[in-house]
Parts: sequence; C-alpha cells; structure tokens
Amino acid sequence: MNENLTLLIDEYISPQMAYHYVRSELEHNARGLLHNHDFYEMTLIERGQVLHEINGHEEILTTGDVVFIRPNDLHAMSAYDAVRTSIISLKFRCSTADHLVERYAKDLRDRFFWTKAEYPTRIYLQGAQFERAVNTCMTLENIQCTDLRIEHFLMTMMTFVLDDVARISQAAPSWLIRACDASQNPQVFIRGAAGFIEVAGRGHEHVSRQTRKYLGITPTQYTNRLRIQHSAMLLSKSTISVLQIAQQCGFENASYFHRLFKQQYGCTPAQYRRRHTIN
Amino acid sequence: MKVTTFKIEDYLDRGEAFHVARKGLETSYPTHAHNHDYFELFLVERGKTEHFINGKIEALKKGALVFIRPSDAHAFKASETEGCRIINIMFRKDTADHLNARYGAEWGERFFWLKDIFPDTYHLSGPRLERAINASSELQTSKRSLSRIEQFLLFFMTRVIDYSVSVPVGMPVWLRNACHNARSPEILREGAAGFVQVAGRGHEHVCRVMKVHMGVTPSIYMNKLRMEHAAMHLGSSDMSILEVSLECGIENLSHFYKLFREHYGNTPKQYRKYHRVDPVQPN
Repeated sequence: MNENLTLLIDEYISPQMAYHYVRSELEHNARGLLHNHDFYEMTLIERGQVLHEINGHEEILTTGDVVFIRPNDLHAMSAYDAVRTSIISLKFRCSTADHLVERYAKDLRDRFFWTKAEYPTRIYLQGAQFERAVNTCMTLENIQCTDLRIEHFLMTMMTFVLDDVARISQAAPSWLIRACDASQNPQVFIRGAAGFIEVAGRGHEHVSRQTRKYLGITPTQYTNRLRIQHSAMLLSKSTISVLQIAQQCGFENASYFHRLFKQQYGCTPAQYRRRHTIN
Repeated sequence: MKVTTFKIEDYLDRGEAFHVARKGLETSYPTHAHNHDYFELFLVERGKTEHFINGKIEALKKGALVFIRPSDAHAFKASETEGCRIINIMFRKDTADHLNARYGAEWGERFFWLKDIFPDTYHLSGPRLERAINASSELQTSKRSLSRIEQFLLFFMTRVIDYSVSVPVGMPVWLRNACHNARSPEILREGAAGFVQVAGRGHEHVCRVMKVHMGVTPSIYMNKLRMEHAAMHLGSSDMSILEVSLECGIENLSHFYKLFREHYGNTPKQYRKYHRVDPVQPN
C-alpha cells in the first residue's frame, strides 16, 4: 500500500475557525482517496448509498447512517450505486473533541468519537430522528464557525438527537443494552413497558431500577418515546388516520396519545402531519 | 420580606446535574423570599404573576424568561383570576462557571452574567416561545446529565434567544426597534446611515447609546447583518459574487471580500463551495 495521505484541518479552515461543514454530493465513478486526518469528522448519509472503506474493511452505508470518524481511522468514501448520493460532513479540531470528552467524561467516554474499538461508531437513524439530525446539521449553515457553535452542535447530536438510540452507556449490564436494541423493533415497543421487560428477561422491579439508573428514565417513558417517534414517522410517510396510527403504536387511549405526542413534538399529530407531509 | 436560601442538594442527588420543575404558582406570597446556592432559569408558560425580585415588584406574563443568579432574592404571587404556571430549571454553579469561562467571550455580559441589580429578562412569543416550551418539556424526561443541561442552556442562549441579534431588556425602545428594522434588506444596504435613519435620532447620540448597550458601533453592527445576508445568498442562490455584494449595498468589491473574510474566515467563493445546498427534488 502507498504511504497514507493525511488530511489537515488547516487546509479547510482558517486558524480562528473551529469547524468545517459541507453538504455535498458524491460523484459517481470517482473512487474516494484513502486517507486519515489530524481532525475528527462526523458524516451523515442524507441520501443514497456509500461504499466505505475503513481500516482495511469495506461496508455499505445507507441513508440515515451517522459515522463518527477518529483522526487515525484510515478510510475512503465513494458513491455506491447510480442514485444521487448526498452526505453531510463535519470536520472539527482535536481540541474540541478533547475538551468535550474531558468535561463530559461520564456521558461520553468510550462512546461516539471516543470508542477504542477497531471500527468507528456507526448509528443508524430513521424516521423522525433522522429528520431531526438533518435539521440540527442545518443549524450550522450561515453562522460563524466558533467553538460555541460546534461544541453545542456536537452536544446536541450526542445527548439529544442520538439520545434514545445511543444513550445507554457501555457500563450498563449487557442484558439491558440488548433490551434497548431489541426495543427498537416496533413489535416490541408497541407493547410499551411490558414488551421492554419481556425482552430484558429479568424481573419487573429489577428492570425498572436498572433502566432508571442507566437511562435516567423508566421503561414506560423509554418505550413511549419510541412509540411516539414511530407515530411521527407514520404521520409523515403514510395516509393512515391519526386514530389508526395511535392504535398501531399501541395506544388505546387517544387523548393519552395526543398528550404524549404534544409533549414530545410540541404540536398535535394533525399539525405534525401538515408540516411534514411531502408532496 | 425575609430571605431564606434554597440549596441545590435538596433537589439533586450526587451525580445529577439539573432539576426541572413545572408548577402552578400560589396566589399569595410565601412567608419568605428565597435566594439560592445555584442558578435558575424560569419561563412563564401560562397566566400572569407578580414577581418580587431584589426589593422590587414586577408583573410577568406568559413568555417571560428570566435568568436568575444565586444572589437574586425573589418570590412569586400568581394572578388570582388567571393563575400562573412556570417551568423552572435549576442547575449547579459549576455549570454556569464553566459555560461562561469557555464561551462567555461570545455572548458578553448577559444572561446569568448580567452586571445589574435585576436579572436579565426576555419576552418570548410565537415560535420562539413554542420552541422554549418544547425544549423544556423534553428536558424534563431526559437523563439529568451534565452534558444534557449544558447543551440545553446553550440551546436557549443561541437558538431561543439568538444573542447575536437579540436585544436585552433595559435598552431604549427606539434602539430596540432600530435593531429590528435594520434587518430588512433595504435598510441594511444603507449600512450605518440606514441604521441611524431608522433610529430617528442624531448620529452621535445613536453611536453613543448603542455602544453603551450593545458594545458596538452602528457600522460594525450593520456590517455583521450585511455579511449574514451575503452568506445567506451565497449559500442558497446563484447570484454572482458581485451581485451579492451589491445586494448587501457594498459597491467596492474588494471591501466586500475583506469584510466577508473577517466575518467568516473564508472568501465568498470558498464559502459558496462549502455551503452550497442541493436543490431538493421532490420524489
């Protein structure tokens, strides 16, 4: 193999800037160049499929994948098929990453950019969460590229947007981590806390206590969030009635559904649908 | 009113970084006002209340957002006819100290760091108020972690109140209006002269008062608005750089380049290349 190409942050931004943000299309028939970096990089696949060569291995990234690239990761990205492929890519200085993991060690250590695993962290987002991630990325457009903006952005992504899928710390018992993974499945989360406890395979009391300890919320709150997110996705992508959606997400009581929905999205399901329906 | 001191340890376990309380207020004052060994942000979600604060009584209504410092001594008395509901977010001193040490230079002496007898107060309405209430209710069900509260506070300071354009309470109304009106393209094209004109006061006076309240001159303020306007066009239109420069009222192209670079650290062309948004094609 040829000597590695190392990309330098100073080739992208001036010294007073804290990050570089770009939303771009990958060209077809152009093979990405294998490189590592003197910076960190977060990439979100907005549309299409990407062939990702990473540390000697190949993977296909699809719409909704977010990858947390560390400086030493040796990688290349190329468009994988003939459809339009667009990605959002964010590069930032090591000083930002170092600061965040030092200050928020308890929340971030060994996760996201700071995993010691061979391959970088990759998280798959769909439905409302994916929309939220893209919207959060767009807040970086047209503003001054300061430490405040990038650090706030990264904290938002890591503590808020990815809160539900990635919030569980690796220090949690493995049965709990597995239960969270399994609960991403609609078959499980529509059954609410009962579904969660069943996949956890432990006693009710114990599951509740550990969930509160490691996720900071109860199994009911956790599964309600997933159910409401799922309902939001159905509202924007389908024409099923609001009542049917509530039922499909396991809510028998429509007014309870409305209340939870409003708490999570700040508007009623009908308003949400009007705002998010794509012509 | 006598004052007692509330302690954060009564609300938080060790390892927890914040507490959210959403509550209806009583319609009579408590026996004591209180100050704190922590910081607090409160938002009036609905109704009206009297707010006793550092010896003064003020009326607050839906949308009032107040940045309370530890030493602020205060108490509430809800309106008897309408009642009052507030969202209260409390967090440790360490969080406030950290945010100010790391980012304070960007927002200056405002929010929790206002040097005034009375705390910094804003009035939110419409989508901003909605955004503030949503963000607070989501915080309520989140894990009480340090990263979450600091993320939340930065969100309030940069996105609910955009400190770079919002105007603190206590500023003369004419100056506040001028800041608001100056954002329209016809005015910002005129630069400092446009600002002075919408302010409707003498040039000298406008400069002096603006400097006191906002720490900048009209021309610096207007250049900032012009560059944001330019960036918006560069990122989302096909106008040539010359056209963008003229759109912002800058006829001297090299002056435009210089200002733009100062503001964004890039040339307009680089900026466009980096920030070009793909036209969204409906499926």
